[in-house]
This record gives sequence, structure tokens and C-alpha cells, in this order.
Amino acid sequence: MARRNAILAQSIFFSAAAILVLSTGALVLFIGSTGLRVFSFISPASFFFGRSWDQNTQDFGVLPLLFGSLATTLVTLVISAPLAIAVSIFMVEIAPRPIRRIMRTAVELFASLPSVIYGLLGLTLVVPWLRDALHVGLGKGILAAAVVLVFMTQPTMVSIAEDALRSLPESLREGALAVGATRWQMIWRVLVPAARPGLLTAVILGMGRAIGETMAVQMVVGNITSRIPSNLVSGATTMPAAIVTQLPEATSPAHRAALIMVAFLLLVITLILIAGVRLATGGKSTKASTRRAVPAAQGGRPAAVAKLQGDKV
Amino acid sequence: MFKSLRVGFTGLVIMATLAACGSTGTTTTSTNPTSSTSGSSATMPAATMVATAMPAATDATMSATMMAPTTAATMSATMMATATDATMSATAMGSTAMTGGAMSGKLTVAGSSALLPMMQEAAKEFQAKNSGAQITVTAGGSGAGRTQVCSGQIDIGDSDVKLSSDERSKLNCADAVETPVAIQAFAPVANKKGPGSVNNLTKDQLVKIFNGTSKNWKEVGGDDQAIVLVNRAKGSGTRSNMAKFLFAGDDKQFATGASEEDNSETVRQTVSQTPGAISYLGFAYLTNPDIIALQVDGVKADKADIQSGAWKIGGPGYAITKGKGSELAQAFIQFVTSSDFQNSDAFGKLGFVPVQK
Repeated sequence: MARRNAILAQSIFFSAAAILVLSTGALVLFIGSTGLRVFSFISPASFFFGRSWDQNTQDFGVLPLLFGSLATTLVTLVISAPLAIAVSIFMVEIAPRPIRRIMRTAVELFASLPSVIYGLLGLTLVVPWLRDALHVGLGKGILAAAVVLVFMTQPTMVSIAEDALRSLPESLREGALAVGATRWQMIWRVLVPAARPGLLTAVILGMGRAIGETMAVQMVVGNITSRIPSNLVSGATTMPAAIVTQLPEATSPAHRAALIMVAFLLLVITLILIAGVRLATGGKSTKASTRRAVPAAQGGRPAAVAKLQGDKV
Repeated sequence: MFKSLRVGFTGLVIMATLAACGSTGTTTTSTNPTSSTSGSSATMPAATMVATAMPAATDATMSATMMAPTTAATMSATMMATATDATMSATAMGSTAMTGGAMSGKLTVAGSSALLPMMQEAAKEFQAKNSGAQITVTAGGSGAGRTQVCSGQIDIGDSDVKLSSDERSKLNCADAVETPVAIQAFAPVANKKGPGSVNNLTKDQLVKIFNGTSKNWKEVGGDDQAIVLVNRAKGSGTRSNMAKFLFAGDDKQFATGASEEDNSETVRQTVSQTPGAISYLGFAYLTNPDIIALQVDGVKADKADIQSGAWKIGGPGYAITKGKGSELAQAFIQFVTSSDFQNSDAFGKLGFVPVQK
């Protein structure tokens, strides 16, 4: 009886795993095969190096979209990563319990807001604010999208960074304080380096969120696909925003295939990001940060302590 | 040894079943060039029949968003099967309708978001008269309406513009029938800051503004305020109608570098909050107090002038069927174009003008 249950259970788990693997494979295959059809309409060179995306002239150069996505993500990360790490340090090391609880609720609220709400807030608050502050005509563009994305990426980044910091063994803190480190030194010289893989994972996953966000970005970015943006405030587009804006009206097969090829590129970029997470965490998924912290606590402590002492002399 | 064999076997059986389902889905997918949009049409029934126009339109945009980048393909296989089944059963039932007075069967209608409120109202009234009929009306854009009806995913496609001859051949849609169902009017709108005392522009002035020649409101007699162009995305029916009026249909003459918005609501928001902004919206939006509706060549966009043809921006919206369509589809289009419906209060309130018969 128990044996039969075990077999049944294992079959269920096996099937679940198989479903996941197969559907991922089907996804890559489907998007890839549909997207690659674009090259029967235009040459790979004009797709990858074309500086204009304009369905009127049937030019489908991906650079304006790719550049918009990368620039938006980069600006987002420059603001959002230090902010998230600072917030998580505050929540783990500094904030008293009641404040920590309030902050966690706030972070969870940020996570559960639908992206169209972020878009609306961006459209009615961020865009006019940037327009008036920088004296630009419209205020839509990469900067507006990045400001909205900073808030959207915080929940992912803060919760992972917080976990990484919290899972560090207490002995690290005690050790650092025992050799006379100030709280500041303990945080910057001991805790942050020890939690580095986890923090890196947080940043990379936040990056994935930023690069894939569609609705909120589309509402504030201006959706200009015909040129590579020359600055952060005069309107641009990103890959997902272009897909969602144009796909419903894409009646020409070349246009449709080009958009699906963009989706495929997005998929490839996401896969690279995931590989990045693996690399950052030593190939053992996000949990590795916890595991690696332990040896750091045993073997790494003398080094950290020595460094602190060395600094003091 | 035996145990792991059993596990593997049971797993394989489950996988085989799944693979069978999957391959059905994939077959549908590959025979069908417009897969991604059909996904959104399949999700739509949930959002259908929502009474007012905007929420439904927003829903459509949102579900399209969810479908678009990464989740699309995972879901599309299942969605696809559902969509095809629905369409097939609709066609089947549509042709066996007409038994005993009232019509029955299922009908899917999708396309132009501008025509959506009118089509929803028509569906509501038609279903009240024919209790056996089940009509699903969704948005998705004029382009989606044209492609989906041509590929047979839906029964009726709504579009603000006719199929181009290019589309007729590329979408394999030579036998499409286009019935005008309502006159739509569009008008230039502006932010309150900029035009100053100007509330009328000539066609020539509008052309210069939208092709980027005029860059400041003072060039057309307004305040010293830079003009900020806001466009709808290329392919939008509203934009095509504007291009038809301003540039004889040549969309390339629109100034490049103007922001492009996905829907009328975002345009309204953006114009209302950006000093110097100018764009264009459908008739139903013109009474909005946040924005100024501009007159063109001294004519104001009102019902009488639209019907008489004095107002030049706009034109008929079409219901498109592949071939003549099922009996139910024909009956529904007949109802939409009937003078009873076209002259009803509900029709007028939604901002449409009856098609001249």
C-alpha cells in the first residue's frame, strides 16, 4: 500500500517535472521557429543592425528597441540596486521589529500592485514631474520608464537581498563586533561581502523584471520605434512595449514575424540572465547563498577579522 | 529496478497524453499565422459584455499584454484549442440556426476598439430578441479584427478601415464582405495651454502641425508654446482616418519622433496634462472637459455636420465577414445596420452617426 503510494507520488512528481521541461522546450521552439521566419523577408543584417523600426517603410531594425530596453534597464538598476540593498540592510540590521513589519507590508504591497496601476501612476505623476523639472515637451521616455521600474523592481530585489542577509550566521556579526568593529564596519566589511552571491541574485532577478515589464513601461515610454533614442527624456521604446503596441495591428507577415523575433530575443536575454544567476551563486540556484555563507562563517571569519584588525593598525 | 520502471512508465503515459494535447495545439498554431492575437481573443470572453466602453477596452489591452512576451507561448497551445473549437462550433451552429423564429448559436466578434461599445450594445439587444444566440464581442484593434476574420478565428471582424488589396491577397481574404455599420468621426484635440484664443484651424495648418513643419502654437495664432505631438500607434484606425484626411492616406508624412500611444484613453490623459500637446480622438471623447476639441475650416464636429458630410475627418466603420458569413452573422449585421438600431437613443449616445442608407 505504502509502496504503491510512493510509486504514484513519484510518477506525479516525474510528470510535473516533465511538463515543465517540455513546455519550456516548446516555448523556445515555437517562438524561435516563428520568429526566425523574419529572415525570409529581411536580411539578418538589416534586422540586427538596422537603426530604424518603421512598418510604413517595412524597416525592422531591432537596435532602437534593444537600445531602449538596455538603457531603461541600466538606468533602473543604477538607482534601484543600491536602494534595494540599503533597504534590506536597514530591515535586517537596523530597524526595530515593528518598523520592519511595516516595511515588509509595504514591500508586499508594491509586489502585488498590477502593472497597469504603476503605469497610470507613472503617467499622472512621474511624467508631469519630469516634464516640469527638466523642461522637456512631453516627459515620456527612458527616464520616466526607469523611475516607474525602480518601484516595480524593489519588491523582488528587497525580498531576495533581505533573505540573503538574514541567512548569514549570527556568529559573523558576533565575531566582527567582538574584535571591535563598529556596526558600520560589520555591515560593509563582513555582512555585505558574505551575502554577495545572494545580493547579486537579487540584482539580476530585478533586472529580469525590469527588462520584461510591458504595460507600465508602454504607458510612459512614448513608444517611438523609428530611431535610436539620443537622450533619456525625448521618447523611446523597449522590446516588450513595442510588441504589445504593434502586435494587434501587425497585418503584414514580415512585421508580425519581426515582432515575434523580438520576443525570441527577449527570451534569449532572459535565459542569459538566468545563467547569470547560476554563475553568481556558484551554480546552485539561489539557495547556494545560504550554503556558501556557512563556510564563510567558519573559514572566512579569521580572514575578515584579520582584515578588520589590519585596517585598524 | 521494477519500481523505477513503473515510475517511468506511468510518467511516460501521462507525458504521452500531454504530448498528444500539445501536438493538437501546435498543429493549430503552425497552420495559423496570427497565433498571438488569437490568444487574446480566447481570453476575452471573460471580459465580454462589460457594459461600458473603456473598461472593456482596457481589459483587452491588458490581456493582450499578458499574452505578449513570455507567457504567451505557454498558454497559447491551450488557448488556441479553445479558440478554434469555439469558432468551429459557432460556424456549425450558425448554419443550423434559423429553426423556429428566433436565431440561435454562437458568434464571435472582435476588432476595432472604437466600434466596440456600439457592437456590444447591438449584441445585448440582439440577444434580448434572440434568446438562443450567444454573441461574444471583444476589442483587440482593427488590424486584429481584419487578420482574425481572414484566418477564420472569428466570425465578424470590426475595422475602422477597409482591407487593403495587399491584405486581401496576403491574408487570403479575397472573398471578404465589408458592411459599413456606423459613421465614426475623429477630431483634433489640444491641451488648454497653447492654442490660446484659437479654436479653429485650417486643414493646411493641421497638415503643417502634424508633419512637423509648425513647431510653435504662435505660428497658427496661439500662444508662444512649443507644440507637442501625440500620435496613436501606426495601424490604429483613428490614426488611419486622420492620415486619410491630412495626408491623403500617406502615413509616412506624420512627423517622426512623436510619441505613439496604444489607446484613446492614454492619448486623452497625455493631452490633458501636457501643455502644448495636440492629438486626435474619436467623437465620443470630444465632450471631455480636460481637453479642447478644435474646429477644422470653421466646421465643428457635431452630429448634424458629420451626417451631412460637412465634417471631413472620419468615415464608416466596417463589419467584415469572410465570404457572406454564417446565417447568424448575416442576421446580426442586418440588425446592426437596421434603422431601428441605428436611430436608437443608445446608438446616438455612444457617439456614432447612422450609416446613410
